[in-house]
Amino acid sequence: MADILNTVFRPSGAEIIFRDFGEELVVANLNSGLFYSLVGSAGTIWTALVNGFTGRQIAAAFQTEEAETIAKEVEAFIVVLMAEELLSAAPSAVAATSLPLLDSFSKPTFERFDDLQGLLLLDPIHEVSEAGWPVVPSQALSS
Amino acid sequence: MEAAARSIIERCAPRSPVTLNVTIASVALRLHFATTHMAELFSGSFAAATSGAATEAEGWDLYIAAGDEGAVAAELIPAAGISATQLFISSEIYVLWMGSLADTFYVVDIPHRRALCWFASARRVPAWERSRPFLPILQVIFDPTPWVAVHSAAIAWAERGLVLAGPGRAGKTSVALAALGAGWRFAGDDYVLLRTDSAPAVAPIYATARLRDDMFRYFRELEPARREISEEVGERRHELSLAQTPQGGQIGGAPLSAIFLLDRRGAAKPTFGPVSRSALLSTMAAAMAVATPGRGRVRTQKLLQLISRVTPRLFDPGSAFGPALQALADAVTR
Repeated sequence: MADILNTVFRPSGAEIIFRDFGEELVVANLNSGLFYSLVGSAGTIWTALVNGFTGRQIAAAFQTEEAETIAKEVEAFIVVLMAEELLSAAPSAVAATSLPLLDSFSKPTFERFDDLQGLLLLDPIHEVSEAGWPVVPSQALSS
Repeated sequence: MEAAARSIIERCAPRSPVTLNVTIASVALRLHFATTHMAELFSGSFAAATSGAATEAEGWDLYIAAGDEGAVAAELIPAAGISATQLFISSEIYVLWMGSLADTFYVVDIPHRRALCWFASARRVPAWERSRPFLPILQVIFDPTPWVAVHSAAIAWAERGLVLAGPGRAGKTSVALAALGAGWRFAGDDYVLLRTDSAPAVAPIYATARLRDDMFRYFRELEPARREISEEVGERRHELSLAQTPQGGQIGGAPLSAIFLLDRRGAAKPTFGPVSRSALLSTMAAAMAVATPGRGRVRTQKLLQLISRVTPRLFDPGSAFGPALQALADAVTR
């Protein structure tokens, strides 16, 4: 993606759920079974991104003389969120306006928890369509 | 799939069932067992159960049948070579084949409030199923309510409930049974119901506990509650039913005051610490997704709602039960 900082993003699907608890923002990817703990500026950036603000707007809202350094950090964080399949570009979306000033900046990071992913790899669950799954021929049961 | 599911419930519903009435939180269940033998398999498993004629009150009918006791169910038995868990969900029907864990399927007809738990053989019902019967079905029944079944132990002191979460072997069962022995209320050691709305609470589902063999020496007084000793993946467990024991009177729920993620780090004394909500959710959601697959979004949202109201903490119980229980009592009554 050529211009990440000027792109509007959204959660990459219905299986991405999140909740802001103030000191921690939790993001869950129910497809992969991974849970993420975002603290400090990571949570602030996530919230602004899913509310339609661009990385450029977010970096500027931190109000610091090191705006370009922060922009690079925000861009790198967005790249990671995309790689984790938590965020994707919102096609033809227009950026939101009036992002309030943000608290002091800290390098955005997250902690990842993979208990569910590990279990799903061991014992995968196949969700099937209306056709269902192939079944035992009834003659085989009666023979 | 939907037609097959409805048809199979109709066909496998026992004609002359042995009925057990169970109340779990606000839901009345009528369990209809195909045979006396099947009813005995699950006797003493539920926290609030009465035998006898089915009541007419609004509730759910759950039929329990087995292939080797006459319930033919070819439409839902996977063909050879399919060993993984198979799941079908629509707005009206839930069908789960347990795959490699057991030759068992669970079918729920949501609009008609009917469900079927079918075992290939009544003689090969796993010990975990007898200890926490029909859990995937119960989870579906509770989906439209504020309640969710989670893999945790729960106990209560002075009308204040607390949840002990954590992965297998974290010590949930031993702390919960120690609390039972010390006069606490006991809501469960394996799966319990949590109310996740503005009135958080814990409620028991089962009257059972599964105690590892190496821990049984601490709980000799529970020997009369032992139904059997099971062995799964090389681990022996004492399968307990507290329903008909003196401790059975202590089974119950309470408003929820605290959630602890058990983490034994070798401390001599009980210690508390902060824990990220993501870590707790990951642990809870993992067990929930495996034991009760499906509807992850709805169920995880409930857990998110719950931990917005009750902040979780880390708890290392230390090396002795007495101080651990005193620390927990202090934590919830402070």
